[in-house]
Amino acid sequence: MNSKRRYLESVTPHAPFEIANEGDETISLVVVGRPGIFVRLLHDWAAIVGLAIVFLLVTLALSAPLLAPHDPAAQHLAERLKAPSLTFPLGTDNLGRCLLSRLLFGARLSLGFVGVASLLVLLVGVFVGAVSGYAGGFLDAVIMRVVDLVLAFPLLLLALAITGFVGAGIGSVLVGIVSVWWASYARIVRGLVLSLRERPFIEAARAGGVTPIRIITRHVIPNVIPPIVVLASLEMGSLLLAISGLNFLGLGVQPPTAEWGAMLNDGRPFLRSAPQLMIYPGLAISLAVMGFNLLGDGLRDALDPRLR
Amino acid sequence: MFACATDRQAGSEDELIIGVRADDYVVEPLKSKLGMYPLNAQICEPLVRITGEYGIEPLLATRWERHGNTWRFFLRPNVVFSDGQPLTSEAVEYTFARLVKGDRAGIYQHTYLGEYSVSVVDDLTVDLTPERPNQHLLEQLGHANYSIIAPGTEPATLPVGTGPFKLVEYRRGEWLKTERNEHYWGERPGLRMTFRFLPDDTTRVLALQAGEAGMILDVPREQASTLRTQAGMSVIEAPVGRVAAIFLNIHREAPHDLLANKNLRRAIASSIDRRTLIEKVWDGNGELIATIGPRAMLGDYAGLVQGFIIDKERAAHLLAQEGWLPGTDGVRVRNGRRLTLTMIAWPEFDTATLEFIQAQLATSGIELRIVRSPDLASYQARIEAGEFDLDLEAPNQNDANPMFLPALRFYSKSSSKTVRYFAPGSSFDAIIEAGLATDQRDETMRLSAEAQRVLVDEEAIVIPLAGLKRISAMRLGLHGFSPHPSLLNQRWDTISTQR
Amino acid sequence: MKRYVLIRLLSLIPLWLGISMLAFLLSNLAPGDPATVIAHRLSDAPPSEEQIATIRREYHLDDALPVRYARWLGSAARGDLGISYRTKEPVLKELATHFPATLQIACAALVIALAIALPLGVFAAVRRGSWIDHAARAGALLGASLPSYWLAYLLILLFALALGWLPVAGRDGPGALILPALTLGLGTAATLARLTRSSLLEVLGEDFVRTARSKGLSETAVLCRHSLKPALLPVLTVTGIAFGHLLGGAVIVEAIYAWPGVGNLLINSIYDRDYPMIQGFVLFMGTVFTLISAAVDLSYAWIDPRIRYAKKRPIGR
Repeated sequence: MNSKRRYLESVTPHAPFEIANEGDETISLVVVGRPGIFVRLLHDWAAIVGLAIVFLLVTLALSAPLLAPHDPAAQHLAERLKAPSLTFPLGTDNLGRCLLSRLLFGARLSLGFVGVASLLVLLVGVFVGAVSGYAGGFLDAVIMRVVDLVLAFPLLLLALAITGFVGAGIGSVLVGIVSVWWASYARIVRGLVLSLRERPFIEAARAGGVTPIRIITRHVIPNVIPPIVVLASLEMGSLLLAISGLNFLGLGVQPPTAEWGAMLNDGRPFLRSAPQLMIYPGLAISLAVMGFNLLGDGLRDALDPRLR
Repeated sequence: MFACATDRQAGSEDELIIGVRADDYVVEPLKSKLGMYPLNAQICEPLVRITGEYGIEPLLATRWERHGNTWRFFLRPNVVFSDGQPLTSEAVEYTFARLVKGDRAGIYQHTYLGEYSVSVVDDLTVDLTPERPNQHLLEQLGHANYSIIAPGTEPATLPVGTGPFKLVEYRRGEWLKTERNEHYWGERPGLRMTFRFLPDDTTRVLALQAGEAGMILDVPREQASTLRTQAGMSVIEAPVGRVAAIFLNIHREAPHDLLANKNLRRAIASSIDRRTLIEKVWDGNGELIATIGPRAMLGDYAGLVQGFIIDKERAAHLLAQEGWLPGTDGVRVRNGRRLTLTMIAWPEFDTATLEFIQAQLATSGIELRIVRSPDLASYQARIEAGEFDLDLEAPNQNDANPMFLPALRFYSKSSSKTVRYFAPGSSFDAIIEAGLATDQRDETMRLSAEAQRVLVDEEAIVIPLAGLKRISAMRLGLHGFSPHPSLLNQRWDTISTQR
Repeated sequence: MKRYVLIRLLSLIPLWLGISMLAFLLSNLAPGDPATVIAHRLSDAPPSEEQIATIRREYHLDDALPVRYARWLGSAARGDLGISYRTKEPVLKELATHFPATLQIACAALVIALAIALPLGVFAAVRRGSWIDHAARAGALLGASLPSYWLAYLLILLFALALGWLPVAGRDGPGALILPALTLGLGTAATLARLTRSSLLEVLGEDFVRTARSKGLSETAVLCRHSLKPALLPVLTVTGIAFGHLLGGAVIVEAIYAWPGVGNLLINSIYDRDYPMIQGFVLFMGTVFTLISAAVDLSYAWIDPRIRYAKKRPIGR
């Protein structure tokens, strides 16, 4: 009985006085008023944890120069692959560099990259997808064909060509990844918009003479954002892993830059002899992904217009 | 951590599965090197064999004579190809004719053989006459490219040779299966070989540990130490086959013109602690060496080349002498220009090695910018364009000619595309020419050593870092494996499970 | 509907043009020269100028870019995709030989992913806030944050080394498919599970669901008849994209498991600057992606009756 009530409360939008009949039972639900978004966010413990994690990581990243006990590039060859100690809180890597310092400095590059890349990918993807889905017809067809083209294109080739052009490094990785990743978002958004387009409130807006652009920005995009936010938060992890993947294939940051994905890749030969070289950056990435996810979920719940 | 899967004996009793790197065979009619190069599966054999000490041994030719520019080879009697055909001079003629047919411009053949003519004297005697006098013909003929194939056959479809093994199945990118050649003239091999292509280093090691491969080649340095301590495994190092060395761009072309200065080059050479590189970064998997090729190549004369030892004070002194003074962030500066150098490297080198060199130079106030190449083609493009100051390589030495490397990379008349960045000049060229002209092996070795002394000690154009030893690992119970410094000349027929 | 399908198929032509042109440009822009690579492959001594020049002549690499592209286009139009520089086999034949392997693991991975993700996602949505929900979310988190090569090595260590049930790598034997498919599938499962859950939650909050519920329908009926279909829409899109990615050659997984699929082919072709192979590959993958996205689009109409393709709706009026 309790679980059923909880369930009903969780799925029905909050509106005053709702009575539902479940078979023989009559349950009355009386719920609340309309709390603001941030208040709702703060009531969701998962979101708080997520926010805390992200906040913590960003702070650590920003204060890396202050917190890191050593220069991340400094090699202490007499102390290679040492276990955690007072001098090296997380131990050292195969060149005797402090793992903690490398993780801290690596956070700047990894998180920074993920932040910028996500933003760009979302911006382009959501806008293109919304326009395509809403417009329909020829424009939709053309845009979707371009999306197909981009999705089918091998990232490695693009990254290699860009590296040849611009030179290697995280900049070219960013350009390469963004130019390919926006496409999947565009597809998903377009799909959502297609069904959204036929909804009564959109119809009403159209009938009321609102311009397409306004419809797209005021009505379509806000409704599309919740599922996209969830996807994007998961994708941040994929973005981090994508850099790591490109490292595996030989492209990416140049030595001696500390970056989580590069550290993960460099730790591969030590899989069995010194697994901590892969475990620490892996954990860092997982932590970041978890934080983004929890936050994203919380945001989704807070932003959902139906739950308002 | 994890115990190994017990007794999962992959393959049958007499089969040895060898995990190797990528499949680089070319299978194109008239150019095919299937089974021969770069992985020599001993399906075919050349006229002579190159030993582990880079000596020459009779193989299909039992003896030879020289008359002027013509070399006469006397073939081993009663040798039969795996398809039953006898080994006669006709086979030799067919082999060389095919090589020319597949490649009239002489591109794909091992260098310096150039044009030649082959004539049959009798069934077991054949003459080979190079167009230009070639003192080192024998050493080149030991290369697997010149393996003798059966008349009428085409390796692209099926390589037929006189070797201890014959081809059963080749699946590109997956495996090369052989079985023992019943007609083999020599001692019957202990096991038959199946080479599995496993390009990922870690997977290869895991395959050995899981029992899916009885032996693996090209064990990465970092994993060698782990395997050494593992029960049931033995790790074997071949003698030094290649030397990892930094080549310095002495060509005066901006912006990579700094290393035209000899003192700067010497300073760099004195800044790198090679012993620490080998002992710490490479876990002992390397050999301290001063020459640019294996010492065995130079015989008694290897000691002529001294190399540089780590001497930071000397480096600092040399740099200051040239006007490079420490700047605010540690990097030396001269007339407003920072001492920044660019290093490119063969893709095979791990990041740790590159970062080590970078850190070493940093202590001398040199800022090293590393440009990694994801693949060979990118690397080639960069080196040919001269976009580097330092170039980290480990050139192959697959033939027994001591003059090979110095001539190829530093002789100004060499056909190599990159020689203009490294060639010292005419006095050096004279040494090379003398070495190429003599037919006394002892003299060749001496001259090669002299050439290397100039390159390494005098001019510091090359900084040898460490000798690389190919590392293989195998399960205990396998015997008879004698690692050859060059993979191309590795013998598999001596491996067996019996002592 | 039929017209729609026809139009989608016709749209392959501009796609082929676009993608082949892009690939051609980019491969030629990438630093490096196929002639050098070919020369190196055939002999261990670094090649000389004339040697490279001869090879370039043989492969017509010195002709102008537009000329070479036009030449390629001409033969491609006749169905001849050329010969691979690396293997000297016809490009089409190489693709045909390697594709089945990739198709195998892509399908297997997708099956695994859906088998895990759909039930888990539905369950998590329906029992929101329960331990299953949290477990599913945690699992999805883990699946999404592990790099594929790490997961691959872990699986190999567990199933091949410790337990000895499955082979380490390669494509021989029935068990060889499992580890690569699992590696690929788990990552995809994570995304799909999350999406299924959130998407279903959305739908369950919809008006028409409330209406159905208030009409007295049981929860199961509400779920199955009314909620699942619309919830599947975004899931379908992502599945389509994921399948496309899987087919595009799970490059890293194929490299680790020495799986002779199209991904391996692609890496080798790119590293060797094997232009004809690269061109052939992008053409092929472009077609595959288009077909998949067309199939996904068609299924939209089936799932959500409100979407129609037959008539063009006037916009902005």
